[in-house]
Amino acid sequence: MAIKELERVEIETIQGLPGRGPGRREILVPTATLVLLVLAWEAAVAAFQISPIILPPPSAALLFIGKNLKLLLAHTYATTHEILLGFLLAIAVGLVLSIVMIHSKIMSEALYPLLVLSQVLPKVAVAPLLLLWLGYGMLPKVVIAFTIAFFPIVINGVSGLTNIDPEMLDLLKVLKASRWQVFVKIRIKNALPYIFDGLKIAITLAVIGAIVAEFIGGDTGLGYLIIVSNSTINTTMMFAALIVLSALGMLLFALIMVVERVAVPWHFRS
Amino acid sequence: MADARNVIEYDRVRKAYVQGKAPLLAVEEMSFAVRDQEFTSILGPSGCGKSTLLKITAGIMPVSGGTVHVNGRPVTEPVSDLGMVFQNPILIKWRNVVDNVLLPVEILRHRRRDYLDRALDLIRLVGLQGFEDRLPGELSGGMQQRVSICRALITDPPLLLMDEPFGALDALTREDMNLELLRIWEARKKTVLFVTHSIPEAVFLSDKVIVLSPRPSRVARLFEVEIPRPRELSVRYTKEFGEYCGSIRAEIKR
Ligand SMILES: Nc1ncnc2c1ncn2[C@@H]1O[C@H](COP(=O)(O)OP(=O)(O)OP(=O)(O)O)[C@@H](O)[C@H]1O
Ligand SMILES: [Mg+2]
Repeated sequence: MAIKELERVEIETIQGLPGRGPGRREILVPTATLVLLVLAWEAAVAAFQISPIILPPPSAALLFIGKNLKLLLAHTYATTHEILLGFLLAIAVGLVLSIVMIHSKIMSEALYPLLVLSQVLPKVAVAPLLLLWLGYGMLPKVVIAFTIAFFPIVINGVSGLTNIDPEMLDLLKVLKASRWQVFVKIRIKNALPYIFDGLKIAITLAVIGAIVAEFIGGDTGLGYLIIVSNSTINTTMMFAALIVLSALGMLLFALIMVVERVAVPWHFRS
Repeated sequence: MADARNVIEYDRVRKAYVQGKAPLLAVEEMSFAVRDQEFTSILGPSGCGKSTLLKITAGIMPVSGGTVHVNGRPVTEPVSDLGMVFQNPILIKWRNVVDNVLLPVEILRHRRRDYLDRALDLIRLVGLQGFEDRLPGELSGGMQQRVSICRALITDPPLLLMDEPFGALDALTREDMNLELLRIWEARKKTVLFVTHSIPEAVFLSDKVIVLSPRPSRVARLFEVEIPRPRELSVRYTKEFGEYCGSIRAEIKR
């Protein structure tokens, strides 16, 4: 009886370790670090009597957020909209491209240099051109977020679809599996953990893309708000926008991690 | 093809791995035959080309010279109706035990439910009942190996190629597995080509034991094991058994 009990407890702890999402410690430690940093910031501003134009205390920024919630939310909504559209487009195009590239060597040889070229070209430099072509609305922002975000999805997609244990391929040959069966039963799921890693990079890049595009043209979004704060020397508003932007980025990143845990549970077990 | 009773026939098979500049000669010249419903074991020092030979036999690796016939046909593509247990388990990590065992059934586009009972029987047979829903990452190496044996047996193939299938098992489990394998082999009339590093295991299971020379390998010697069947575990303590082991041991060089 007692042994049975012990056994069960043991099994539960072992199963409870990985795969169940972040534990209490994984949440506590970073939260505590963040709180400490914010407190240090607040203390430093007070202690050294730093001008709020240079560095406002976090309390002022948070107060600003509280007072101007509606304004901030409207701009956050616009930016989020651009990020998500660009990101979804990046997923669609990135996955299609990686599938095309693994299926045809010629396509891969033709596309790869172009992909690299599209990435070495700094988006900030191309953004004005895109705005010229696509106007000052939401479209150029989505396009810029997309062009910067799809690259890691393609690269990781190709890796995940092709990095199959050669012995697994031997086994599939013995079983006389067709190319389609190998793709459906092995390659896709093998690629998922790689793709999720790519998505985590892509979402942060999509945020950068949208903000950069907003810097250059337009009249909405957190990027626009930052530019306005800069020209009006409203550093508190700038920090408020930055805080909201960071929170947004973290939230999007966390969302992907949650989806990942559901989509590739085997990656977190064992 | 000389003899219709031969399921596998190797005729001066040669295999060199070409990699970079210097090719590596793994198999120099291999000629022997495996008869229908015969249990043949291959013994040989590590790296002499046993796994290579099995992959060539399955038709998933080309020869560099000579020919292999399986069921009377020259091997030029993956051989049909063959069960293969690789040296590593090679399980799909997102599939649980049952779904890994049923992989060949899916690939053949047979109905899964027609094989489910058989899969569960096999899993019980190798002592993995209770682990049907586990992922490979939650199993030990020896347990994974047993799953891969079930996978090779699920479609009941007449020809089995087994590459050190019991290598990761403890002595007792290994004895059980030996007995089960013999039982299946006798009941289902299979032809088995079995690679092992254990001389007693080879003698216990086989009609023929083929000893390979170190790389580049050839057949060093072929032993016919004439211990009567069905064999019990106790046969391993007889004088005759010991003599077979002794003379095979003397033939294996390093
Ligand atoms: N894919 C490969 N490319 C190059 N060389 C290889 C390859 N596979 C095997 N070899 C070489 O061929 C030789 C035979 O390898 P093989 O795996 O067939 O040996 P083995 O008899 O199965 O050994 P073990 O008992 O250790 O499993 C080895 O020397 C090895 O280095
Ligand atoms: Mg081997």
